[in-house]
Amino acid sequence: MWNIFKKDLLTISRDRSEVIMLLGMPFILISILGFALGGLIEGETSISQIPVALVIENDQEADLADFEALLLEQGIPSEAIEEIVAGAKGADPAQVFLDLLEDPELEELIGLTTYEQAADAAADLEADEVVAVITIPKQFSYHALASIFLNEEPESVIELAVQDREQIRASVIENLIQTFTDRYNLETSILVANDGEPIEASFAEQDFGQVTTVSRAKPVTAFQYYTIGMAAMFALYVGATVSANAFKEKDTHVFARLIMAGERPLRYLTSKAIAATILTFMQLTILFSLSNLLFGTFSGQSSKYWLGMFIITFTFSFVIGGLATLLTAITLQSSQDTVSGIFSGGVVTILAFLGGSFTPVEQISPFIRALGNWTPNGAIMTAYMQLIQGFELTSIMPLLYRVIVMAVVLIVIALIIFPKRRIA
Amino acid sequence: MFEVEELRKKFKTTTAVDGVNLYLEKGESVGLLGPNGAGKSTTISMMSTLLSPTDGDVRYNGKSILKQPEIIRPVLGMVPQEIALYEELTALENMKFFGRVYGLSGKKLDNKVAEVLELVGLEDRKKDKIKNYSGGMKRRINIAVALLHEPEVLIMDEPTVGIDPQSRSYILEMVKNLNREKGMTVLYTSHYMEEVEKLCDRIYIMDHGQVIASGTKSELKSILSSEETVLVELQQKQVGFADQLSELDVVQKVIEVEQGFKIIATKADQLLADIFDVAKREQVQIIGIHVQTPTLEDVFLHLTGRKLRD
Ligand SMILES: Nc1ncnc2c1ncn2[C@@H]1O[C@H](COP(=O)(O)OP(=O)(O)O)[C@@H](O)[C@H]1O
Ligand SMILES: [Mg+2]
Repeated sequence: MWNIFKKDLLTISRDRSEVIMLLGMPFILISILGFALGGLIEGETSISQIPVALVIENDQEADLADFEALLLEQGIPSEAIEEIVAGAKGADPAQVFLDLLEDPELEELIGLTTYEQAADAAADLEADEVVAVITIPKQFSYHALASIFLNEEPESVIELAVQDREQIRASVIENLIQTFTDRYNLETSILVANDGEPIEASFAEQDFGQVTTVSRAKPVTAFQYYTIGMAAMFALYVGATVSANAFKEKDTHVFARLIMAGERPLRYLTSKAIAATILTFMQLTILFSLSNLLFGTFSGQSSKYWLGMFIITFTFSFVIGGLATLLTAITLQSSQDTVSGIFSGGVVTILAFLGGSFTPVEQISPFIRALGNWTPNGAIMTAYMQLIQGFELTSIMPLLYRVIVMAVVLIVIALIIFPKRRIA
Repeated sequence: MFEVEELRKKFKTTTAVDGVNLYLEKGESVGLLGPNGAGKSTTISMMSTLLSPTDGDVRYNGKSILKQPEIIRPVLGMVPQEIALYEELTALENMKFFGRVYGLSGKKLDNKVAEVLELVGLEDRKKDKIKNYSGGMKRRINIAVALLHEPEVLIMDEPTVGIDPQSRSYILEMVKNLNREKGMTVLYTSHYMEEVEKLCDRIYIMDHGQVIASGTKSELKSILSSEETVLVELQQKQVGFADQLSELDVVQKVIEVEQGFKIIATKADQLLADIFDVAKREQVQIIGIHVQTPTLEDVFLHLTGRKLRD
């Protein structure tokens, strides 16, 4: 298998037009699009600003009064009550959350609209006017305070409704709320563990550091966007290249010679899958490195980021391997190399468009984005984008699992149609 | 050792091979002669398990190889009619690649590759890409790849098509040596009768998917022993002359050739006199006349009424 891969790499690297197609073209396009459309992507707010509805049913004043009454009812001494209420004023969880949402860093990311009526917000969510609805329910402050200071079961939580069709951006909000809740619960448990004694201590240094990290959806630069976009598109050509090579092997009777020499057809197919996977990985690595070297596209990223890049790139290479396997299996069945031609002539362009290689398609229609996420290159592109925006790898994984499933499906279809015995 | 029995292959519209029987004994050099489209390539594709027959059987050492291609593949060297190589790679890279597919590696691979390159005389050009090779060199390296695993049987499909005379005689000499010195069994396919005549102990003549004659050279030629071939060179060819000749009792065939006509006739004393008579009657001027011993070409001519090559 290594032998066949080495030979494929040699033949492709000696073919000038292949090298231009797989490395030259995408690199030129990255340069042109990166420079020419620089302003467009970076100035484009809709890429980073997510419309979110906020419904506040909670009444802080009234809740605080209710809370005070509750404390009295519990027979707590009045000096203590005074102290607790003073602390509670500063620690009102609803207020903390609202402050967080209005954080200037976050404002870049979230376009917040406050709604009076929950029904209006729900309607806008349905109409795709907003991506998510955050509801702070009635008596949220009251219950939250009771749970912090009196260790009662929390009966009320911040609610989040998201639009399924808007998975990526909705998950930004989900992430945000989750982080807030985790953080708040942590603070709360510290408080409770201390019997509510050092009230000021923990809330004084609230920085919600974690929240800011997650929510600082780093703006995507044009170079980043098009480096990923072009890489996602031109990697598809590796599939066509490998299957076109397989056709050439059949056409020049080299394939027959290989079979005569004891190569098993299935092993041959496996070699092609591995060759395509490694070739794609090499292609992407070269493109990313070049782009980084010349345009500083990914400069200053953490090692965690690069780990993410590695995982996504490898997953992508794997699915291209699957694609090459299917194209090769089809090609070996037919007497003409129409498949590779149709694929590289038309299908790649359609996939690339759906996947968002040319332009952020969610600006055109959320439906296309959703559809694009069901193409291997589109799902991968979304994954890269999320990584660049600072998402945790764990929230990117579902997309990668989806891509792996696609790869497996492609390979299974290839195996079904592949002739296992002799090939004339 | 290697037998083909009632082999048949039907494609959608044609029957390419139509009930062929042939055999190879160990160490023999056998020729398969026939014009283009006779079904030679299809026959040997089936013999080398690349194509499954519609009907019939192929046996090696008594065992049918149709269901068990692994019996024949390791001992068979197959030189395809096409240059089945990677054009963008060098000869050395091609050899090493195929050598590894055959399961060779390390020193053994290097030695074998060097040995075979030496054999085909391309040692000094091994670092050139195949696409920069001449036709003759491509043919030689095409053969070399089939020799890497030291096959017992070598099947060659028109290995000298379209190359210069030097390369051609080099290849013929090489195959002859492989057969005589290494005892390799050879099945040599060609539409050049002089190659087969020079190289092979026994010959099968194919046409339209069938074996129309077989035997040793002298056996085949004895088909014509009661006949003779006369080449008549003319100042100017004239159809009437040929027609008149065909009318003669002893004449079997009259074939137009470049210089004049070729006449196949039963041996008879008065043939030459008759030819001159006809010439006189038709007022054609004979500038030369040759009585020839029959060649395989003539045998083919006799059997089919056509020439091997057009
Ligand atoms: N794969 C095929 N499909 C249909 N017809 C074929 C195929 N291969 C060969 N033939 C036909 O079979 C006949 C014999 O071909 P072939 O064996 O190549 O002859 P040869 O090698 O003697 O020149 C020809 O008429 C050719 O057109
Ligand atoms: Mg042929």
